[in-house]
Amino acid sequence: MINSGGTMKRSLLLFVLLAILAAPFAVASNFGSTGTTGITGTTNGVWLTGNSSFYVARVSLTSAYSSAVSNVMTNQYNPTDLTAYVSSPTYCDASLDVCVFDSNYGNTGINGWNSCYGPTSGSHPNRRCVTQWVRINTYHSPPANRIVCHEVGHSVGLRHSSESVSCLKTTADGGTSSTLSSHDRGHINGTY
Amino acid sequence: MGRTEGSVKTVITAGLALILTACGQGPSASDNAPVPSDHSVVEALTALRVSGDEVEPYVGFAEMGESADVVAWASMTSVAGVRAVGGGPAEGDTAYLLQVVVTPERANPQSGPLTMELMMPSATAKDAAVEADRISQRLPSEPLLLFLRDKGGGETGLYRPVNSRGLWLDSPDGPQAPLADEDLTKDPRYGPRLKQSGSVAGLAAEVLESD
Repeated sequence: MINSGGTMKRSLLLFVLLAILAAPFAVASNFGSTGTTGITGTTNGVWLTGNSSFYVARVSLTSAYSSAVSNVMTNQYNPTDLTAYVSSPTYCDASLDVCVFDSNYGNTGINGWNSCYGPTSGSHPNRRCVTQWVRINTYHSPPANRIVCHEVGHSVGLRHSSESVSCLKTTADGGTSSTLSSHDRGHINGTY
Repeated sequence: MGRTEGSVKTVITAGLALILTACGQGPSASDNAPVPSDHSVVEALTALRVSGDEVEPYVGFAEMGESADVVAWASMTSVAGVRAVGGGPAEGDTAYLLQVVVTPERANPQSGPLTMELMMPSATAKDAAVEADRISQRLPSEPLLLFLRDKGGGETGLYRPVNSRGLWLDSPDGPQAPLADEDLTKDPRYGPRLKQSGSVAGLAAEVLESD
């Protein structure tokens, strides 16, 4: 009886532990690459980055978005298992994982987007892209920390989210958050 | 930074116009019977998916119809060219828009041919020209249901779908919004209405009759 009770307790403990570990993935998943490769190889969408060393470049950014990249990397992505290195080069090159640009792209109806510029490897939902371009459209003046958090999320594999606490919830769906959710962080930490 | 905010420059890629002129097609179906686009058409439009953070709210057909500047049951008759937007010291400061001429069979308000712009994933003008050529050869031969926004300002007279939910067609797999990054037929804002109408063609007839 005693042994049986102990086994039951251990089983219950193991079950609870597994449930906790699986929690970040139990919600409807918003993780995994989706980009459709175009004829020239460049495509928009969600991709995984190469590894946990995450090189992010601010390429000729205006001051608000430049500050936002530093802020978001420090406060949102560095606390995950990614280690972000922020630089400010004149040009984007293949040594960089993500290059962030901003410009007035006109009334596209899009605050920002991510595209894969470099070569890809693997297959969906774990397809990785070597160099990604995040573009921020100053025409629509998106909130700086929010749009950086959102688009950089696409470059590490995060898809749009239904969680109000996640910056991956789209503006069109009522999203206003500038931070990653614990669910988002769980996906990042489970991958890198 | 030497940047000219708000500047929008137009680049029609040399030679593209000649290639594309040969590919122009007139509108075909004149009734509301769905004539599904083939898979290559859907794939070509899917390649223009942005999956970005969109400005205009995701709403159902009725609300989208009320907010749009033009609702059209229209054919994509030709690719007019590629327009470069943005500009600045870095290569990523420039983006490319595909310009498609859409010719309404029915529209509210009534309209002649319109120029609709769609974001391209291309990183260079050369890549954009190649993509434009590819898409020009795969234009849907039957109409699409479009909810369009006049871009206004310095871009007045140029239109875009209100968002990725603003372009619908009948595909071999049923109604599709190829610019959207998820299957909207499972979304309660769109699925039940599409099921009720039976097809995008049927929905277009209802939407434009009620206007």
